[in-house]
Amino acid sequence: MTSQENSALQWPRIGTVVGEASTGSYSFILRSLEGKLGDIVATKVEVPVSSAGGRAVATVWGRITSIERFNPFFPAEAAQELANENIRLIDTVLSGSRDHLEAKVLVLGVTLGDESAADLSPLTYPVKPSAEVLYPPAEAVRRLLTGDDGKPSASAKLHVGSLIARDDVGVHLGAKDIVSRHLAILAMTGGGKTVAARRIIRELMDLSYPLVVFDPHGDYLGLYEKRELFKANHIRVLYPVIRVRQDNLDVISDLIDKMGKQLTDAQQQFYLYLLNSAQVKDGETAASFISKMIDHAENVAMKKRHKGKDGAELADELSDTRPATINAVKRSLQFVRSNLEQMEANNGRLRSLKRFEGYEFAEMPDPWDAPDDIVAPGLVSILYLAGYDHLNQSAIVSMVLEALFAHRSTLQDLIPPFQAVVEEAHNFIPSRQEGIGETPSLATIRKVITEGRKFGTGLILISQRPSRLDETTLAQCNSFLVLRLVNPKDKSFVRSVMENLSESDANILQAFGRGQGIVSGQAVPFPLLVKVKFDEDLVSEALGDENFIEVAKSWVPKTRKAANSEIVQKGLAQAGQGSQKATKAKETGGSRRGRRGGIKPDF
Amino acid sequence: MTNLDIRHRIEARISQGEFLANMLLLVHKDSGNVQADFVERLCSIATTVRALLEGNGLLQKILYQPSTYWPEQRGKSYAFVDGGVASVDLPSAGPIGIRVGSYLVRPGDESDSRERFKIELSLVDDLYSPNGALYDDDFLDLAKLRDAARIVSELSAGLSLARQVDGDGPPDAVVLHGPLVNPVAPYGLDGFPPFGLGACRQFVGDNDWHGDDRDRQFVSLYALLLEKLRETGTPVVGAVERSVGRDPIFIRTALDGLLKAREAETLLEQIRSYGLNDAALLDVVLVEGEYVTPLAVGRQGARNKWPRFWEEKIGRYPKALTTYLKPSALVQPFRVEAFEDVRNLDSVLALILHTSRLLPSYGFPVGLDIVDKFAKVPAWLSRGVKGQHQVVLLKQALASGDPRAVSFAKRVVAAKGRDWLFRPEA
Repeated sequence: MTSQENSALQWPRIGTVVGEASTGSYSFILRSLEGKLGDIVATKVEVPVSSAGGRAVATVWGRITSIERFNPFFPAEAAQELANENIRLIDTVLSGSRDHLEAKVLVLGVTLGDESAADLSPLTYPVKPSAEVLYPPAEAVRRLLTGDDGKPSASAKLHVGSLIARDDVGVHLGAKDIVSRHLAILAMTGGGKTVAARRIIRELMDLSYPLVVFDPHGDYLGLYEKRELFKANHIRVLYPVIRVRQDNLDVISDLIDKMGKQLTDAQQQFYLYLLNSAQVKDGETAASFISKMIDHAENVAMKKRHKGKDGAELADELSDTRPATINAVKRSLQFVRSNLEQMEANNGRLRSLKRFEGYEFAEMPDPWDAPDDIVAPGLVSILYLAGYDHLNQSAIVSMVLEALFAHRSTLQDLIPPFQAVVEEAHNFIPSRQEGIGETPSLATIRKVITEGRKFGTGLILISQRPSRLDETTLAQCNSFLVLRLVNPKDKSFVRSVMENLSESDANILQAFGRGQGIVSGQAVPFPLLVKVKFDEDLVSEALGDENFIEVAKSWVPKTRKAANSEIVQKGLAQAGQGSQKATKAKETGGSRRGRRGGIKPDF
Repeated sequence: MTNLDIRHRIEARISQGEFLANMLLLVHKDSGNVQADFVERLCSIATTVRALLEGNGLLQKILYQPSTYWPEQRGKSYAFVDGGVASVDLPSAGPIGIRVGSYLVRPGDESDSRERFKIELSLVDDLYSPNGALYDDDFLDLAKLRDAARIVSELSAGLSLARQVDGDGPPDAVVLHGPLVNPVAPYGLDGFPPFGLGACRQFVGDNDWHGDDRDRQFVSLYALLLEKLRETGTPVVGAVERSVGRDPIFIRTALDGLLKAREAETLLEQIRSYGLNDAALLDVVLVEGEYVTPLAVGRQGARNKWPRFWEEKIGRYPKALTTYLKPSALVQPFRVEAFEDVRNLDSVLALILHTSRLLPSYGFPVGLDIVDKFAKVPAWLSRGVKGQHQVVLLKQALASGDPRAVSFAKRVVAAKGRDWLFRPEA
């Protein structure tokens, strides 16, 4: 018997295996208040080993996935009577003390012999009914979770929190698996996904790992505010400008498609002519390029009007293009440009809010020309996308990721490996069922998530509506951190994507408290119920929840506007009186004037 | 073939196939009159019985007031006792597994000691074994041996509870599951083996107890236990869940004191002719919460059926102070038995009513339901007992070296007729 087995025998006994046990699960009768949901438990089982007739005692590790409590001595009809008559059980002869606790355990794996190696193997022989169920000490569980054999660890770990059931056992994710094989953080609003993401970002920052955060609501701007805490890092807050290049002109087409009216075939043809004719300068803003296209369209229209005069020459392909077509395309382009300008202005207004007073926002560097200004060791680039609509946000994410990934995949060593964090991922990788067609970022993220592993481009996708995410993309994530989810669609979607999420685990998703969740995938040895560590020191003072009730209560209308409104209303009222007089005169046939200044034909 | 032959043949087939179907059809056709007559007659009988009981002050009523009753029980303790018998069925042996559990509860007590479950006694033995601990000899009627062992075991547990519990003094009432006084004549037959001395000492709760063969016979021992139980002075009652038997003994006893013999016999004749026993008749006579003033009822049956050897002893058996209590309108009344000199029977009956109303549809004291579940020998335990018996049997057969014994043991273990083990030998 090894020393480990000896020590295992001294672990507290908390129950006895009953019923039918398989290699995947077993049930046991739990001693009252000795264990709880999510606890890691152990049992000993004799398993056959490779040599003929050989056998060895293995430690079977499992996680309690459900506990059923019932009292066979307390009949339901007695409960009904107690309720009807409003009497307390304790005053009667009824029994309330003989609860049976039957816990179900998901088998995680076995360790054989000297368990200090903490390598889990699959269980190949079922647990014995009547076997004792043990409660391992924190140190044993910690060793199991980290695979830590006491030697200095070669691979970096990201500390996310502790086990829900045991706050003395920390939970760590394998950093290598997160940065190369992607992570999805899924939770309903208020479930704690931003807190979880911030925790992981912080851990990656401690490793000086380059980060690019796409932040549609400014949830991560607080990192900039608390930059003093991260001396080794450089945190930049950036605002986006959509820029075009020769090889990403499709972005403009997407914008026209999604924002403008649907173009007819003829209009489409003219639009393509403009796209090809307007000279794009790599890196120029989309608004400027669209202006060029509008100018070009006006030019064409003018030439049409003066056809044959002043030597105005028109390309042959435009001979059949009607002025109405040109105007329609021009209006579409003007509409898109105006929208873009509007959104840029919105973003600008948001940035200039008082709460961002100390923030030094910078325009996002061109990811093609200056990727190293976005991705560098220790650099955290937070791209503040507020003010832009989903489509434009998607276009921005697409352009930036496309460029950065291209730099990585061409192996030019312009930028180091990096991790991109995509908040509100359902807007960037929407599922087909959303019926909004493919957004520009979908294809890019798909590409990155499929090939990123090879080129050191990792993704952290964060969403509050998992069922609205593109399934193929999400399924490529090798690790999941799922916090509280209530929506049945979301829950069943998560189950379909996460292969190793058991039914009982799926059922408890809705019962999680804030910051509690289940982490599974390659980053952990087996699915774990985790309580994410809350980084109180990262809570932004500028971004605290606004008290809209108070804001509304203390709202004062702008006095100047009110005064102006009064003037206008007064003026309109006088004008109205005048027109009433005129109408009256018209009705009485008074000073009626004809269309020609009141001169009647003299017959 | 005579008419009688044909009648016999019909009677042999009347409960099968076509005959049964045709008979039911005919009953259905003519049932209108029969039903009307039945209802009419039953109504008249029940009205008469109720009038007699009511007119002579034999009907009592307990008000069901749980919200005031239960808080008043604070500080009291009540014990419930029931036994469970393992279901072990082997063709060769007479194994027995009995355990008797108790549930002691102190209403209103908020401490951890409010409830106490305890296995008061457990017996695992072989009824066939001449050197078994339970019986000193063999007897072929295994069912009777088992019954006798169960009855004595339950009473013995009741006795140990009624004496004292863990130094806290006896409970305010002990409620047994089943009759307090059972008919003993069937267990006094010739050849019925006496209990072993060790078993008797366990039952009596006295390691120094000595008794000869006669003292250790069921009839003697049961009487001794009943007497000891009565002497404790603790109110002990037996609640009988199901009424079996067609004879309305309780009504008969009641009418004996109220009517002239001939009138009583006429009324009883009518009651019997409609197949009504005490519970069935009182079901329509009593209203919710009502019970008949308890009467001493002899439980030992007709004297001419007593074994002569035990006549004197059986004649001195205590009568059971018996009543029928109807807990609610939905359920049949059930029998409650006590000793004739029992204290506070009214308050025990109030307890019985209030505990029965905690199971409104079942209408039986919930404490007995609880202890029944506790004492019941589960199937897995029965299987274990059976397995152990099989192992012992096979080992002994193999040790004997007798091929016939081994073959028999194999047959018992496999318990199936056609198996490769039993292929006919040349």
